[in-house]
Amino acid sequence: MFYLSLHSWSLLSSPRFIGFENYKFLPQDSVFIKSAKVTFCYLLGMIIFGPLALILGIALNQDFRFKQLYWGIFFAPYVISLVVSSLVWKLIYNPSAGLLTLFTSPLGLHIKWLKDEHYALPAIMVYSLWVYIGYYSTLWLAGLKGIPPECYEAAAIDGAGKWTIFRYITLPLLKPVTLFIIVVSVIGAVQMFVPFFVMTQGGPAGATQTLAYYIYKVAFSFLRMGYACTVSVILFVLVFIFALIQVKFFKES
Amino acid sequence: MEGLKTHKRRDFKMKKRGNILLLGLMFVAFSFFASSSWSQKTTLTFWMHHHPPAYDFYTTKIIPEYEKLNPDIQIEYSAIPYPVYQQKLPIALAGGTGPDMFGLGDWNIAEYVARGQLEPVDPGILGFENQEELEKAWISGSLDGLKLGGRIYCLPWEYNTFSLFINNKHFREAGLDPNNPPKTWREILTIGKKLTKREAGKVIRAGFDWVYGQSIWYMLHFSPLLWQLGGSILNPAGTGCAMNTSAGVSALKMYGDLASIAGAEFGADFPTEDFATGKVSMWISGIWYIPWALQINPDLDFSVASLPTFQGKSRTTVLYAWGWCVNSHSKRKTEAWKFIDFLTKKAPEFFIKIAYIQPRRGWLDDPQIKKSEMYNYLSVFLDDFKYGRYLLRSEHYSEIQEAVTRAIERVAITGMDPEESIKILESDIKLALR
Repeated sequence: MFYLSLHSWSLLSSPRFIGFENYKFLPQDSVFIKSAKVTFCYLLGMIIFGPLALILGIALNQDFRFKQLYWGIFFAPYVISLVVSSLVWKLIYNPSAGLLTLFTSPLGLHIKWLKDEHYALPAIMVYSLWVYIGYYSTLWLAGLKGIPPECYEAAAIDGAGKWTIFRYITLPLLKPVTLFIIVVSVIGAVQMFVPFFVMTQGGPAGATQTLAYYIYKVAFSFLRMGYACTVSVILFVLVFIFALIQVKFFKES
Repeated sequence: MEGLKTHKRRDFKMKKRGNILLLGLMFVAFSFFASSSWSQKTTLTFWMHHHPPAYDFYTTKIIPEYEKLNPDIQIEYSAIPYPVYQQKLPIALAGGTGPDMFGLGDWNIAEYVARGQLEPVDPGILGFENQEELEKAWISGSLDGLKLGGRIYCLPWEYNTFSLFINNKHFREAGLDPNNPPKTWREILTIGKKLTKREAGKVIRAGFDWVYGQSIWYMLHFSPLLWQLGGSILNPAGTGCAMNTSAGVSALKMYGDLASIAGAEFGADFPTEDFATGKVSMWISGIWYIPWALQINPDLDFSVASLPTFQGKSRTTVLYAWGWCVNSHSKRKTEAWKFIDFLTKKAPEFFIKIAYIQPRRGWLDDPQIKKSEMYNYLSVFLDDFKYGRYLLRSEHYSEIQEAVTRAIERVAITGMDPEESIKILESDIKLALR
């Protein structure tokens, strides 16, 4: 990929070496800069949603009736095809006749969701949360199951309350899982393509054009393979640096 | 005796197995010989963007008819949704898996020719002595959009302009006369606001609406506004953006004002249904839309009018053509051109069934066309043709189109100031032309 990023290549002829010319265009490329911002916002949104999956994981770790059923309900979106679920959510978000209007219309709210540059990205974040919350809560659940019950027993004997137990026992012991989930969710978030393609095609006005979608456009609409590889390299470097920081942070603490 | 019986049983079993094996081999051999790879049939792959009325017409009428006349040819037809088609076709062609023949918009010709993906028309196969003779068989100027460097690369199956569609019922309800349609963009703005209906703050009917989400529609709708004011997207040399003028700013502003009537309301990626079902009172489209609309709503009461213009400005409309093209790397170019030749002689049927105008000389003289329902609407479009102009030509058309799309959406959807949007557009076009 790095090798091709040093070339100009349209697939139709041999790649032509141009050195770092592609990299010089990046700062001038307003679409690349905007796509990077959109990707970062989406990533932030996905990380912020992480605690919700933890709460669900903790809930699923309790004993109650029909626990397996609830688990299945939350996990089901993860196994549905992303194209299918994206199409369904696109209908849900339809401002004229979508399911969401049942709730927003009585409140006098009229939101154009996927056609509004302020709401389009959050709308896709909510969709992504619906898809992945079951999966990440399962990972949290696995981490919670791995905590020896003796730790809780010892803490209870010492008179620790629930919040204290959670803060000083559960969370620290979940660090390996936390690190894994953060790294996996970051990689998943920057690679996310299907909902952006199906629901908004990167619009409106680039409000949901992530770097992954931009790479696709540059490669397959404009046939600028070399430049697409350049953007891919930058994306890889950013994710790699982020992952390194995370590993270092969790190692030190 | 037992030994003899056993021997006979064994012998019978072996014969039975042998017969079954022989039958199986015969079946396999039959299938093999019956398959087209062994037969004389040539398979021609044919891709087009998906247009429901056209799909039905090709699959139920045209292709079976051609295959019956040419039993050695089998047409493998694929209709692909346009947003996907835009990416699938160039990649398939580049990767060597492209179709033998395909549909292409005139705006993409320069790109595909630059990549060496289009085969120039062979006049000989179509029965003409040379290109000059071929051009005489088509209405003057109708092949210009599919020509580059003096060579014709495709033959048109659609030759279009965009005119104004109005819902007569909505006009009458609002006390307006549909026989006196708006003639300027300012009038569209005023009447559009009057015809728009809201309920609890939500637009339930748009007096006027554009098409959002598909770049080519932005180009086809926006370009005439720009040309009418004397502007253009690129400079004459095609080396830079020429939108940073009063014409560019005014055209973008008017586009944005017209978009604000409904505010990109309905969220439909393709509002063919919206006009047909009465959710939009006025929109701009081609004659091909009529059979589609009537298929959705046979009771639609509508009329067509000339494309509006700016008060006191030149009347300019858009021209565009979809053409049948042949893959330069196809091994069946002759067969492809022969099929295209057959298709180009079906002008009356194309027009009557799906309102596609094939500008072959004399097509209007056909008595079937004059009797058809579509003929009633033709005069408006034929008049708009006279003032038509093709979209810009560039090897980097796709990137320029994307940049213009973003510029338009920044104004029409996010409400950005047109001048600010054009500044970003200048930088984007500079990058696109590198």
